[in-house]
Amino acid sequence: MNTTVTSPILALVVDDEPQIQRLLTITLEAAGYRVTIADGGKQALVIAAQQRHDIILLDLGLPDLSGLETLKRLREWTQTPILILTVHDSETEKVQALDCGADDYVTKPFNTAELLARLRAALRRANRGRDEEPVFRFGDLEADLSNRRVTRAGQPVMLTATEYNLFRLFIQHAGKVLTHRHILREVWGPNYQEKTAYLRVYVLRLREKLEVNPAAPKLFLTEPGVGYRLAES
Amino acid sequence: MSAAPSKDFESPAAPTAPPPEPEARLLPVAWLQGEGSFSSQLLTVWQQYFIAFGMFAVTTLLNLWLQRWIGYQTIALVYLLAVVLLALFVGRGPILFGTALTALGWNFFFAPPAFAFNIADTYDNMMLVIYFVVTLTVGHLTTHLRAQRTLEQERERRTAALYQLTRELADAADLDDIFCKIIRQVGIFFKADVALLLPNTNLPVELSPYTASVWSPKEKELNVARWVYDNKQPAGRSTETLSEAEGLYWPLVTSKGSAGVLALRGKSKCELTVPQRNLLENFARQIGLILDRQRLRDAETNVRLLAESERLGRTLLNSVSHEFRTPIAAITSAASGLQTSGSLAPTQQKLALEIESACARLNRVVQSLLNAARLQSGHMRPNLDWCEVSDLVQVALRGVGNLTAAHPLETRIDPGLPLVKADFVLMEQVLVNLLINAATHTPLGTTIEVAARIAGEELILEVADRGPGLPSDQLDRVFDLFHRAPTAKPGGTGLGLAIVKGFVEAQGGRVWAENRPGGGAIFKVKLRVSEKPDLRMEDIL
Repeated sequence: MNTTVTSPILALVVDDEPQIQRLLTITLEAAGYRVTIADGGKQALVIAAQQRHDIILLDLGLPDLSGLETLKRLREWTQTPILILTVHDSETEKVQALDCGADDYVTKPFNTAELLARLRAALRRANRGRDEEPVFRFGDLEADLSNRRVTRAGQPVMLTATEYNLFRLFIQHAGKVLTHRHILREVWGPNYQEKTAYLRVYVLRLREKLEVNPAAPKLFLTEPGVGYRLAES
Repeated sequence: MSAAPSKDFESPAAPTAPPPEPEARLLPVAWLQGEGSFSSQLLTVWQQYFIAFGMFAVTTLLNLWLQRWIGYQTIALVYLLAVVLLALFVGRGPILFGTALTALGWNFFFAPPAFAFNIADTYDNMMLVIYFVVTLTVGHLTTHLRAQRTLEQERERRTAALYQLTRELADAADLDDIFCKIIRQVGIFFKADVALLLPNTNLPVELSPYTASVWSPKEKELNVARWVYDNKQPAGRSTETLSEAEGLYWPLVTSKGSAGVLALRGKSKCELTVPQRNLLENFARQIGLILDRQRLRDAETNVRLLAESERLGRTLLNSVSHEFRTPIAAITSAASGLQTSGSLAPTQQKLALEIESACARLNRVVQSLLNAARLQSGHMRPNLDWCEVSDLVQVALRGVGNLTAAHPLETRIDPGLPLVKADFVLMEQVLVNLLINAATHTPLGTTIEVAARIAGEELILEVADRGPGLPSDQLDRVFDLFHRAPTAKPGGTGLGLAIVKGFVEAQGGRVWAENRPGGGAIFKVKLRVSEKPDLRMEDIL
């Protein structure tokens, strides 16, 4: 990665633990990022306003301003991708963060490779225009959004209108976690935000139609307690 | 106009009539006996007539003296003045009496011919009639005004009494304080012995006097109170129901039904008047409202305390968890960073991998301890939502990772399983723990089977192994916290299965272990699926 990048990627790390700060600095700098550190939410807001960063890593458990509040305030004016650092069994927090505009989350303790992959994916999504690349490929699966055509190994796959809408939403946000509420709102409408049952039924159907092995899905990934993520091609 | 005074509103005839006071006071008022009043109510009817006569006599003497300087017509005005003054103190009868006396007196003593009842002049006759009418009208108006004022005062005092009670009760610190104040205030206002009969918590409900009660009704009387409590109607003395009882029983009704009974035993043997009855009714209503408010306040305090303890527990858990997880995260991150740096010798690479997997294990232990603590604190709130079973199993298998790598896994999920209302994250942990448990306690290479099926209204998830099985006395005990089967291999914390049990039960399910025919143990989780998802056919397209 660091060989292809001409100017280093600027990352803002917001975490109150010096140990995590040091580690993230080492890890990210080794991967070619330039790192700025903020100890708390307030400082993060100031730094983010002073200098444009390419990506922000935000810990949710901050001492002064809660991570969620910091996130909301950042999202009032910037579209910089934000990656949330969080702990296990805080699904509600993750969902809230995602609904407030976070791009992705990584659960502590995280593997360095996994963290870097998530960062790369978030940056890629941010740089990619929303309507770019109308064709999505995954294995022998191909979805052409401009022609509303889905094929597997060249054979057309028939999807109902709702199935197609759901799949299209996933493709538009490939690699990104989508919360249940978000998906239900986008595909079924605001009155269906709590009707998780629909989503379960349709994801099952899409898996049956589009996965190579529906019992071990590789494309439509479940994020327990949070939502779904479409694997990137 | 009747001279009989007993039915007049300012009448003093009824001994229990509330004696009005010149000024409304905020202090408790004795209702059953008059105090500190100068008004007519303290004077008997005969005294009033005597005053009227005395006034007449004095005025007549005065007039006889004044006669030397003023004419007999002006004398009439002096009489009029006297009657008006009289009207300030006495009732209608005595006024009429006074009016008649003065009219006759004027006629007899002053109107020519003096000292005779016949009047010579038509003009004087006319004057006599007009005098009579004017005097009577003025007297009547004055009495009327006074009566009005008395009524006003009485109303004002009743309001003041009610206000006093409300204020006293509003200042009360707790329920006991409220009860004591009720007993005291009602006792003072009604000059009666007061008992507060409260229901016990058991069934059938029994009423017993509150400790601070001034008297305690006898067994027979308690039955009256019981009737009052059940029917929310007053009974006993001064009422139409069971009026031969010793006390008067008034229900205290709140929005949640009867809260108790107020029992009054008058010190004197008199009945309650209508205004007193109204006041008592108002008192009871006010007390009901205050008890209602106190109940809500207590409930709110409880909720707050509970929330507070929950918050404290969570804070503690969060900080402990943070202190454990931060170093674990740092070590994991460092160890994995070492591996990806690509500059390690093969041995170093292996060591870094060991550090990482040890950290993962440590993290699982911390996670288990935190889960166990969450269960122990009783603050477990499952987030029940629709789950798809095959997805659940698949996510759990992914969560176990390579921990079951040494065991072949078989999954058997019945097709067409319905959606189940459960907490996805908790269920995932349940399956992960059962799988890890199976992998840790069985010989390498033995198969682990995961199955899901529907039996009637229940979903059954099974994790079965081909290990040594469990001693029959251990089948229940394996789910106890920190319990480890004596035959168990070293390793494991004794937390995993306890968490399984806690999580399953938090979702209203059940978990148990059995030995399989042909060897090995089987753990079964049962969840109710009676609820069906509300899916509209037109939306499933």
